[in-house]
Amino acid sequence: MRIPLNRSVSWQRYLLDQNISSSDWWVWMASAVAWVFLFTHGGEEMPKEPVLCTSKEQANISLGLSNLTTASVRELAYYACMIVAMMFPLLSGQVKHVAFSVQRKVRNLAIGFFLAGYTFLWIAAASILSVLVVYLRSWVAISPDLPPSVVSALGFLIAAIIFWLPSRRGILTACERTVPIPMNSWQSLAESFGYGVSNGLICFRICWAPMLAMIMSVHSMTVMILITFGILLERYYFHDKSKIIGYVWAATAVVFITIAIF
Amino acid sequence: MYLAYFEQIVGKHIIDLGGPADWALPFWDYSDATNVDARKLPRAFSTPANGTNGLWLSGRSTAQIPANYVTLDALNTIPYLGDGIQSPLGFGGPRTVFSHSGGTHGRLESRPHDLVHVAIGGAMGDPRTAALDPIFWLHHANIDRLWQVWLNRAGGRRNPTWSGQTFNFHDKDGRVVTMAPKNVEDTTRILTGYTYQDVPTAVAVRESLEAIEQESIQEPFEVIAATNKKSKLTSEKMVVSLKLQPPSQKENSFKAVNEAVGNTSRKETYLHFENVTGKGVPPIYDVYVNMPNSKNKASYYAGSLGFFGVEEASIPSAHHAGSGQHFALDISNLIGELRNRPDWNPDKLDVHLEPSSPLKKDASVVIGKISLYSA
Repeated sequence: MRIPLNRSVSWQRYLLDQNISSSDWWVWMASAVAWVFLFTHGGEEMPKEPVLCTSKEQANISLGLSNLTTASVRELAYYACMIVAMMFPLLSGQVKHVAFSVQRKVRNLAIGFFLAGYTFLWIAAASILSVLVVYLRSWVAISPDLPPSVVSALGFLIAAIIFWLPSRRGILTACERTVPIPMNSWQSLAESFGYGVSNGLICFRICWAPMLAMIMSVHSMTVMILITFGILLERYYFHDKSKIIGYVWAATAVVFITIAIF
Repeated sequence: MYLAYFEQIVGKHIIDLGGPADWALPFWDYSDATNVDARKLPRAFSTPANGTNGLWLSGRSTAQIPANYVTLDALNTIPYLGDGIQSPLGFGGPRTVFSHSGGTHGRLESRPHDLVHVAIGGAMGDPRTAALDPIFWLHHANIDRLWQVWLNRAGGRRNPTWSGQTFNFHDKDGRVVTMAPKNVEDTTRILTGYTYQDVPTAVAVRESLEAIEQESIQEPFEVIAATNKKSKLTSEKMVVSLKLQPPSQKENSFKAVNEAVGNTSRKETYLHFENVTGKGVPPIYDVYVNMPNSKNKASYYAGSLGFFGVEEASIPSAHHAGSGQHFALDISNLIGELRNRPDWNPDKLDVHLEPSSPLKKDASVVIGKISLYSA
């Protein structure tokens, strides 16, 4: 029912209705809080490089794997924080789908399970990407003394190439995928978690390249902000046929090359 | 847009062949209650029924389209945008990307558009081949006309702010031309301009979605019943029982009648069919609610589902995610009537699905979820 504004409606009721109708608002809030945390703790405490790339001994695979097995909860927490900050704002449509598929009494829980599934997938994917970076450095004999900006440029060049592939549009469209979610009981939570995992996989297929560029740029805050801005514009502003973001990644690669040269 | 350029291209050929200079694309008014033959395929398209008739195509159904497939209750809808979950179902449905598939079918698209397509069948039954049937163009000319009829009813009916997407066409001289939705809001300004017989062109008032939304607060919908598993449709009748769950708020149950904020406006109730996937061209399924037997079916009729494009919607592509189709039936009035009957059960709702014709062997339909939303 539509309630005309000239009727007496309590402000409490209005805010509740807005909270329900804009069920994704706290996802944006979580992202904002995560960004605040990253800004305030990203100076010294945040790992400048993934745990596997902490020193010149990174070319030693066994040492890298050893580091992986002893990777602290702290590093994983930072990964999760980065995912919340950078990726959650992309999930507005999916969160609304979960929110309105279930009964109101389990709505927030279902959204939480969805986001947990999504975050789980991304943490696993980010860990695998980090291992791949270590192997790449070893197999292609990338010198540990190679200027970081060259590595960053390579990462963004890969991101640009992947962006311009014809298959990108179909993968981007897959982000809109919905699934039927039971309205309550444990099944709704299980389906919500599964939906989060599958959405994370779809998201990984489109975003792995800029994420790789970020890892190869040793998680620079500036790069993080740039990538977040780029993927948000790609998701909500530019038409799926637009090539602008690809040009942004290519231009960023050029900038890093220029830094390396001069 | 495509209708205008089709008319222009065909018109040029007709004139070149010595035809009338004022030839215009006709529309098929199948909803004309004063014409007993309105729901039959126009004679020129069916007689003779062989290859000598350029307007004839094999595979079509020869049966008259049932009257309830071409009713125009969509014209009573006021908001253009809406998906029947986060907001009332709109005349044009929810905001989507340009695609045959995905998202909820709006009121006009569901009926009469989808139902006429599937009722005729043959090439018309599949969006990938529909335009090959000459009747397609008269059908869509009527849909275009109904859009103008809807606008003319005013009372808050208005077009939304379009996204700015553009589309390319070829004009009668083969040149590529580009058009945006805002270019076709006034039919008198499309190419050489046109109006429909007995349908004046009112000045279209275009407002942003935000301005429309700010006129009133939409009480949020909540799901009050839903299936937990998929429903595969067959050639037989199917009954799906929806158990009404204890509501989160008492305002959102059938037991609490319009007591939420003291107003007496009717509660809106939608029956949703979500993530519908399938193959081929399934028949139309008529939906009834709480029908005790086959007598007096009309009084339990909720609507019909024409799965036009279900196969295309089920396959992921560059245009959509392959999540299938989504249909919403407004059963607010029906629920209001059923609630006054002695056999009304406030804890359960039986949804009856009856195929209008047998399901072909190469066709299938699976409904991901049947749900009931109320506000």
